[in-house]
Amino acid sequence: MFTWNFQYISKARLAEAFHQLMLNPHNGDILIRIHTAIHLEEEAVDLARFIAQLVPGAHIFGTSTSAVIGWGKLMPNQCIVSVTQTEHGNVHTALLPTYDQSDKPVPAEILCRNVKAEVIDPNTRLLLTFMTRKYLDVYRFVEVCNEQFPGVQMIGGLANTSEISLKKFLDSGFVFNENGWTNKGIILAAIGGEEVESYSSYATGVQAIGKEVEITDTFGTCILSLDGRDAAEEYRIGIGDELRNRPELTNLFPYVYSETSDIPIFVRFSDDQSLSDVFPETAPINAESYASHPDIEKYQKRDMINANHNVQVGKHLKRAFIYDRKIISDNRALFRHIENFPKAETIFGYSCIARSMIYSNCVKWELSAYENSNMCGCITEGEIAHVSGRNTFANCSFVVSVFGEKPATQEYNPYAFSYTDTLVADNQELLEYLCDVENLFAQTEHFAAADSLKAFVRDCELKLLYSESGEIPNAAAMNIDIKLKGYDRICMINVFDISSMQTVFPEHMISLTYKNYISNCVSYARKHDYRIYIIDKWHIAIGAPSYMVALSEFVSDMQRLQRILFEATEEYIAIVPIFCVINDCTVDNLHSVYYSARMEMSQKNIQFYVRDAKFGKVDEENIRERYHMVNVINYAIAHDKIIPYFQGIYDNAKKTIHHYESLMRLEDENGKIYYPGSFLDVARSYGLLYDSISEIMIRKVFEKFRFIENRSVSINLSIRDIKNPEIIDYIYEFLSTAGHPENFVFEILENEDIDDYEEMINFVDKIHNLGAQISIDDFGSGFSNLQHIASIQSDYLKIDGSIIRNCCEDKEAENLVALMADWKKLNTRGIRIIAEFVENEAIQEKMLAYGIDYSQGYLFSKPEPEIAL
Amino acid sequence: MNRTENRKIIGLILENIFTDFSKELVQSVANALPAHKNLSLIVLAGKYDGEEVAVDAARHAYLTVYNSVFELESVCNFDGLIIHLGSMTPEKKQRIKTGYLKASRNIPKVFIASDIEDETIINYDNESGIREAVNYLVNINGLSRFCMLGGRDDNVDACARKTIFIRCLKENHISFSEQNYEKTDMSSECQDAAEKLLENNPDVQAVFCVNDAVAKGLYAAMQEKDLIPGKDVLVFGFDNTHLSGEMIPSLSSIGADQCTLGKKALDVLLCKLNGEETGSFLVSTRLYGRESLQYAMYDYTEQEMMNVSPAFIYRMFDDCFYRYRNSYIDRENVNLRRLFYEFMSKMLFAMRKRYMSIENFNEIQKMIDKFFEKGAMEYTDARKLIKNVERLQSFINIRQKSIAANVMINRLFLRMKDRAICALAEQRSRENTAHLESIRAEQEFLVLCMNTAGSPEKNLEKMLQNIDKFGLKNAAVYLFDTPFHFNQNKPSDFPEYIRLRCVLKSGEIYLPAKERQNCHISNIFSRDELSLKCSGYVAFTLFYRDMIYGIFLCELTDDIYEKGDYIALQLSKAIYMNDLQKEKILASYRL
Repeated sequence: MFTWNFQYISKARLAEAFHQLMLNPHNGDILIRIHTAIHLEEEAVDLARFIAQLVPGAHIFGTSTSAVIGWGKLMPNQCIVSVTQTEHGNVHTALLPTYDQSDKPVPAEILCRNVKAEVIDPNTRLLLTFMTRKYLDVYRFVEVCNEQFPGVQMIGGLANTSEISLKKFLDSGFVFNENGWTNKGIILAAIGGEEVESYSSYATGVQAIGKEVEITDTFGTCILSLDGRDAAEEYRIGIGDELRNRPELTNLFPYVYSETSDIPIFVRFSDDQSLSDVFPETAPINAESYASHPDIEKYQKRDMINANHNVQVGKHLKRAFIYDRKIISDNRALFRHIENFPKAETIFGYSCIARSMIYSNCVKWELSAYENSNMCGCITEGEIAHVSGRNTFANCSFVVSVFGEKPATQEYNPYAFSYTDTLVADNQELLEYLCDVENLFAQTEHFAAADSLKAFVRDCELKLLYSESGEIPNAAAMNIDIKLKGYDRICMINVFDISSMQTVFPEHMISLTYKNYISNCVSYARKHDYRIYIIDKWHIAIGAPSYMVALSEFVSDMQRLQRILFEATEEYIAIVPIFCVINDCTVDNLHSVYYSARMEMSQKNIQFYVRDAKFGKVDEENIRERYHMVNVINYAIAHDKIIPYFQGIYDNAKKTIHHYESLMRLEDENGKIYYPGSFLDVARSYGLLYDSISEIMIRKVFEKFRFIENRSVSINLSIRDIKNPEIIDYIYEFLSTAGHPENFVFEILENEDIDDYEEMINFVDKIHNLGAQISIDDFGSGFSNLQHIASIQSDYLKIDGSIIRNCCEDKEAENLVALMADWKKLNTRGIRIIAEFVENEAIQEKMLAYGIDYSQGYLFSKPEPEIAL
Repeated sequence: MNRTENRKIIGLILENIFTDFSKELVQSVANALPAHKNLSLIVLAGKYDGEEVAVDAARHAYLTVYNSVFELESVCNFDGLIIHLGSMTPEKKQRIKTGYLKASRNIPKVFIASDIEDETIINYDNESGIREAVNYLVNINGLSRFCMLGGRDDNVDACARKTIFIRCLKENHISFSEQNYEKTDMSSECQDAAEKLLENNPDVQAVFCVNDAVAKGLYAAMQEKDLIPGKDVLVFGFDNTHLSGEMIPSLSSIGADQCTLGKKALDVLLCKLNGEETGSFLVSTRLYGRESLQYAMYDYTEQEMMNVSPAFIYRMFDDCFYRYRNSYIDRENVNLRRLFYEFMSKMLFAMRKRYMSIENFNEIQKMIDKFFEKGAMEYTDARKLIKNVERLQSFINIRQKSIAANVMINRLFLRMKDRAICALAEQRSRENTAHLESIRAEQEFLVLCMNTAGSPEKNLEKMLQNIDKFGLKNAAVYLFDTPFHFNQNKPSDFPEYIRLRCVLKSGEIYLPAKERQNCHISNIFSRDELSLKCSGYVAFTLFYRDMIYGIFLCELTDDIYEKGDYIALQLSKAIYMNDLQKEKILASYRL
């Protein structure tokens, strides 16, 4: 068996395609299915005739539809021709009337017998059936078929057209073959043969809820009462009064026949018609219903719910929702069977119009698994499905048959179903709403349900039903393209500040700007053969595969687009779209890379950025080191391993140690000593850690020197410490009780962190008042603002070690030392200067030459945990 | 001090730079380089000192690798060295051990194709490729009369190849005697040896050449005798150099399989730099089939093809575009391997489904165009590609189910061949134009040098200002204040300082100011002025007669192997002339 699908473009192209296929009916029966959303009745018949001429002897099976499925893709406004050539199997087709000459429907039993006589033989495995919608006994018909020819799997549905109404079931669909068309008929294709095997099943997505109710009264297709209560009212209360204005809501809330499996059926709600409007009294088909309801009010407008087939008293129903999770699990189960079917030579697939209306992505998503398979079919208005060994009429379903004569496999897309997040995310609000409603129904608070529905419906309308960007693929499509088609160069385009725009500009201006923005991006992308996706409002992605486009080309194209968007803003609100090109991305890393790039872009205020997803951003070693450091710090805090070291500061005049600088060290569990350079930054980034170790350090130094009279000590403070009231209070407290407050010097790091000099000066004054001293640390390291330094009444000034260390080799460094020595001379306050990193005699000589007061460094004293007193 | 932090300088020391093997080696190291940040490559090659050739009967002695000009590797700062010194006479080996290795004792080193004891060595695993070739010829082609054109006795690889070849033949019960063997000097000028071999073995069926250059000599000898390689006698060489693809008919050759010598050497050297212990390595080889010995590297089974299995298409690509795997592929460029997969899978799919739509056809055509436009031909040779395409095409044509659909597929194959030839032609004509342009510029430079009107110092500056005439983009000229004499027999005494006189950076010329020129000889390869945009430089000495004037660094480009020495020579000659002029002027002053 061999199946090929053509998208119909022109007769000439069709002829060329058939020529290539070299079909021959002598090799086996040929079935040619035509599903068209573009042909009118006569045109369709003409096409069928044309094909019949091209392939004499082929069996032609034609239906109208609203959208076709070809190669596992949904294609609106197309016509698809699918050719199946069997090797040894046989195909029988027939087009039968469903109404007799007096326009009475053929009773289901008789129709079924006719079908059996026309197309069924003992080898028939699969019966493809399409009816036009006027035959209301379809449910009954399918049930009878089960009895008449058990073992034959059925698939198909009711033909529709692109004409869609939310209020009532239209009857515009038709079926056709080369001999003509009808909208009151049934078209059949029976496929059978010794070797033919098939599997048919369905996926729905309808989640039944609530209690089972029984149909107690019906009027043709209308359900009059359930468990003796008015059915329409029950239904309306369940959904809310909003239903009157929003008939499309019925698409979300079908019923299920709950006897065997949960078979979904749709009802349409109307409130502006009387029974006689819907069921004309003169029509012969309604006679029976009127006869059985002699007392019914015929002319008054009333609430009504109508199914698309005649309903029967005694059937059991449950209320239901279309529900994402159910869609996912149903489809997975279905796909598992299809995938494992050994003779997968041909796949038929038919899906429901109702779902494609509300869940715009649902049909595309469930088809994505079959992309590249030869699945062909169309959208129908009600489906004939094979469920648990029985055929049944259902709604809201995706029905699939896979069959073949020989072992074969199809190309499936095994990844498609793993991206359920996107499907769920797309319909997140819907999902959440449904959950809410579910809960409300559980509590039987009908009115609350109705209220919350209003808000939902507005969203529903905006996003799902009338989305203006329906034509542009979404994030789910992008993910699938990245994964399967190698679209690994993605440019994320986004416009921020929308909220600020909204405060100034009227809504229509914004929406105009938005439309212009989208259309610019779309036309640019199409022109350059890129794919474009709408991720969110204002958020667009453009993708290209690395096997077709070099990064440099892609980047320059994106830069040009940015300019276009920027320049095209004269009549619109000026927007600044942010572009972030991500190279070599995967579905897994795209969002995290984009997020981190965004952070960086906003920090650095850049609007165009190229980022490689694989290299150059995450420094794992660094991260590991950081976490290790956090552990060390925590350990040191918990185990009292924060150890003050002391380094002597040498008085160059008196030639003795003048005072000590306290330096923090941490020790880990192995006894390894850590220097501030390795842990201070980490501690600072986890502010609280810093506060803890800083406080412990200060306490320890204070305790050590509290009773020492003849030695002073300096303690490093950062601006964070000065801003920490606990530490400051502790310092003030300590100094006011200390015996020798003048022994304590506070070294303040002069750096960029200081944003409030006022606060600093207050602190310095207070320290002076309490009798202690102040030193400015790392002076000349690059951040020092001379004016501020001058305003801080500091007692010591410590020249940055990097200057001292180089002052023998680097004339500039030496000049700086000289400059500070001179400045000291001019200073009236008697400031004293300390040079740190005095490592050798040569440096010390220079220091002496410039009259530096104190020297600190290995030449005189190494940091030790103990001091010599 | 001037050195950018963490930047590592790797020296590649070569016996010479103009043989195909050397070129291939330099390229393979350069290809592996961009994967490692902060590495720059300096190539130092032995230099042919013209005068000794005549004197030395054993042609190869002139390539005294422990060449006193090239002591730069011990004078300059290198972080690591990759060394290929070619054939080893016992004397040479001794000299290397006592002098050379001592001088650069502390620098991590990796030797390529060598047998120096106690050093890290990267060698070809000669066996795997030779065995593949012999097994194929004996078992599939049923041949039994083999010959070999071998190498010099002092060449480790040549000896190993001979031993293995004989062993493989023996395993297949094929006899081989000394009559089937002839020695060569391993260069293409071995026609005499080849003729002798053919005369001694008139019924020979296949000849194994110790390297590709020797095969070239064999081709010439065969032509004399009206023998066609691949038809009358099957020929295969070793090293799989570019030359093998360019010979007519193209030469089958044994070459590195998964990893090139250069890449492996660099990897090992980097391990050493990181302080890791490493041993010696063998790089596995295999046979690359071309016209001189029809051999498909990979079998295509019908099952694989009908299933359009990705592994199969990628293997097909690796076979056809065998250089792609070992080349440095910029991830920012178009991924040719994937592109090949995309269009090939679509074509095979169409064959399977008996249908190809116009849209699909157009799309594939676009992909094929893109494929060749983006330089696919750089990774294969035309004949190998066309052979492979034809093979696949016939395979498909035999199995097709619809002639009509196959018309499209055949048209696409035709397109592939057509694009391939066009791409090649375009490349050739581009090269030709560039070549003509460079000749013109060189002439201009020479004319300029003749003009001695100004002062010698001015003239020198003018010369340096026109150095871009040689068609270089990145280069640097270092000159000694006073040139010094070169003596072959004793180590050169390089002055401690040298002057950076001229830098060519992305085509722009900079003449550093006098106070910035001075440079310690050890830092000549690490000056910040050198462009970071090019991954490597080749160092040439500015050497004329017996004077050394300085060092000339040229960016590593595809044509530097041929023209680098020439430029250096022209430059040195010009400087020499200028110096003469200077002396003349000085002399006139003295008078």
